[in-house]
Amino acid sequence: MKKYKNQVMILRIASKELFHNISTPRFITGFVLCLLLIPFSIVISINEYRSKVSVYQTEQKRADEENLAKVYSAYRPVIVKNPTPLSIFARGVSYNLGNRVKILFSDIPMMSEGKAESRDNPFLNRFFTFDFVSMLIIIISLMAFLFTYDICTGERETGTLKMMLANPVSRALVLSGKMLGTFFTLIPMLLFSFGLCILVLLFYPDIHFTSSEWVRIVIIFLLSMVFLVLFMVIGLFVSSRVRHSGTSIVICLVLWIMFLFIVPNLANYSAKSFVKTGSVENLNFDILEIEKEFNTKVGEYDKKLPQTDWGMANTRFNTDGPSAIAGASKSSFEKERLMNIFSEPLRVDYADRKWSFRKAYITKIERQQKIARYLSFLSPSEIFKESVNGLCATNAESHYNFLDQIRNYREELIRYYEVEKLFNSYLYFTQQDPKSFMTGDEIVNTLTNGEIKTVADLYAKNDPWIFNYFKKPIPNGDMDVWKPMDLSKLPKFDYRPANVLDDIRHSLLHIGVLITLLLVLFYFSYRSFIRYDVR
Amino acid sequence: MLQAIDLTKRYEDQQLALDALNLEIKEGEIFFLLGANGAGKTTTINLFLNFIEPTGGKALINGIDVTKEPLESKKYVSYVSENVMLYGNFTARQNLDFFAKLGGKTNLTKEDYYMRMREVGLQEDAFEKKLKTFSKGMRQKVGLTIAIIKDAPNILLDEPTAGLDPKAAAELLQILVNQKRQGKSILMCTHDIFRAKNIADRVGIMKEGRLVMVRTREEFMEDDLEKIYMDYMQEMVIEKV
Repeated sequence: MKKYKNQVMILRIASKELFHNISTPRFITGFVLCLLLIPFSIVISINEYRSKVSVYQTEQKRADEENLAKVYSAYRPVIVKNPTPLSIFARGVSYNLGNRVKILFSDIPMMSEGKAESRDNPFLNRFFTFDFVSMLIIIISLMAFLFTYDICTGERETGTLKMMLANPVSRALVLSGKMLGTFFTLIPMLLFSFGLCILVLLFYPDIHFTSSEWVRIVIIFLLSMVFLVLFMVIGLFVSSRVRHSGTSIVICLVLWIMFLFIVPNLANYSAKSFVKTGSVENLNFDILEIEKEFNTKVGEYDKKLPQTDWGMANTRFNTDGPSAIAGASKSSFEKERLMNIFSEPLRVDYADRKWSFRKAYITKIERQQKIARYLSFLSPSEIFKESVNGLCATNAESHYNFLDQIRNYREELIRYYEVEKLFNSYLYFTQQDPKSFMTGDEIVNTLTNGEIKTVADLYAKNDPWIFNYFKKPIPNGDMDVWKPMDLSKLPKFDYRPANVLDDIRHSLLHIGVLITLLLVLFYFSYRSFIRYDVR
Repeated sequence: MLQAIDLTKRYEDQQLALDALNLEIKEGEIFFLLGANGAGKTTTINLFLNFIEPTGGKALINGIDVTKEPLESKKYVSYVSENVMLYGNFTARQNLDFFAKLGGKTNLTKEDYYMRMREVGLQEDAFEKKLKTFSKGMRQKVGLTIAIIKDAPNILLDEPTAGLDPKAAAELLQILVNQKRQGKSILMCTHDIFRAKNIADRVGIMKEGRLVMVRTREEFMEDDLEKIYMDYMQEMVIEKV
């Protein structure tokens, strides 16, 4: 019965607080802010997302063309990451990074390429972004402060706190009622913000969300409620520690600026000061040295191999690995095959060596990002933002996961080449049937229409313009007649973004810190209010 | 009934705000506590309302120790503060409704509120007006209505006539006399010695946290209360100088 009476009393105070709050200009201000900022940010984010999708479609088309290989050495698949529509809610670091990675045997991918914003460390959050979550943070934190900075001081100054406490109602009930009333005041703003966001999205039928993405949106909403309550509790804490609303609002505004603008910027700056990554130029120099060593070894091995009887052929250059060859002599094909047996595993080994340098660089980049993230724990808004970025898969970890999967896929692909002995095969660099391979003399005979029988005879002419003797094109030298290879048996890259549970697990630290902070601050605010001098 | 037994309050800065106050206000009695600013009048009220904890002694409301059973004791006391602000965006009736329900009066109708407001002399057209449009006197009347509507046997008033015009102050005092007739114990802290002479059954003069003098109506009507009060005040000024 007493419990019921207490609940009724809390609701009574809460409804008083709610009706008092909604009759103030602050309430209207909150909605006006939502109306101004939310659709604006959503439209900007949607345009950015659509532009990313358009880039993705172009890149994917290009990648599909590039992935049509005619020899195995030309198959260096290009992987393009599809932008997530959740980036409309929180863009995180996703737009700092490119969306395209080419799998090379000579390099382990360090970063993605493609259209991205130029930054020293792309894994660090931008100072300010115009996405939904940033706007939500501004509105909700500001409104929570505006409705709580005077939650104790305001009623103390008007004397209503004394009048309330002159009745048989405990301070705990008064506090609970006031907080509940303020929560009910602010929750319509949160609902309005999400509602506006969904409403704007309805005007863009090309943007779809999967059921898993809707689950994430619901979780973001629930998390926003935690964030809202946290800022309410901070406001309450400040209000319960000072006697005048003037002091309280100044402290709240200073905290607001600190949390939203100074801490995130300071965190990035400090992280860069604590961990120096070194210059990319130095890294490239080291990489170049390793590549020189590789080329020297390959050159030395080339000298050990027997000379070919005829060096002319049609070739098509590949960025990574040997060129595709057509119309070479049998000995040239064989030399190329022997060379590949030596050079390709060596190329993979040297990629690992280069990776050790790149890894050291990227570890520093990641360490910078982690330090920045831990420093940003000083700001509840940053913790919230990072959790939402995690749920939207636009945080740095999500991109690390993408790059890790690509690296693993590269390993898998190389393993397939090794197991299937593709480096040893002629198909690695030519589609020409080995039965059609000709000796140098046979090629010269064919080229000159029988006028010159052997390579030696041709060179005996001692004429620098030997092409003048050729009556026919290089036999079997036309690569355009080759069809794209059937690559269906090769391992395919299948990007597996983390599922909702994984993302929640990854965001658990942030969510845990948010909730712990909320509980600790509420405990201290409660204690403070219990002892609050109402005079 | 209100009782203070050796009621003492020393603040954290070691200032002795109330020094072993012994006081008993019986049913149907109006007690005026006079004294200069800082004499301990408001501290006494704050202690009775458990807004602050005593450092010694106890305050009893209807025999209930306010420190041990604060919520129980508050069922038996109403309070009117010096400057009643209330909720400016609420109407007079809404303010009454909120505080009446906090005080445990949950079954009152709109008509009940109107009746009470008429009793304190509020004009009908003010009942549903927002309080921010009210004058100080009108707000004070709403504050008094809140106290009356609770129908508690004890009423504590802290400078309720401060800043009121003579007519409004006289009306307010008349309401207190009516409450006294209903058997309420009334403790009023004030500087207003003239009002005290009009309606008080007893007056007490406080000086630096001590109750230095108590006079019944008969006694202070015989003596010159103004002179006694002024003498105490002067003494204090001289001591300070």
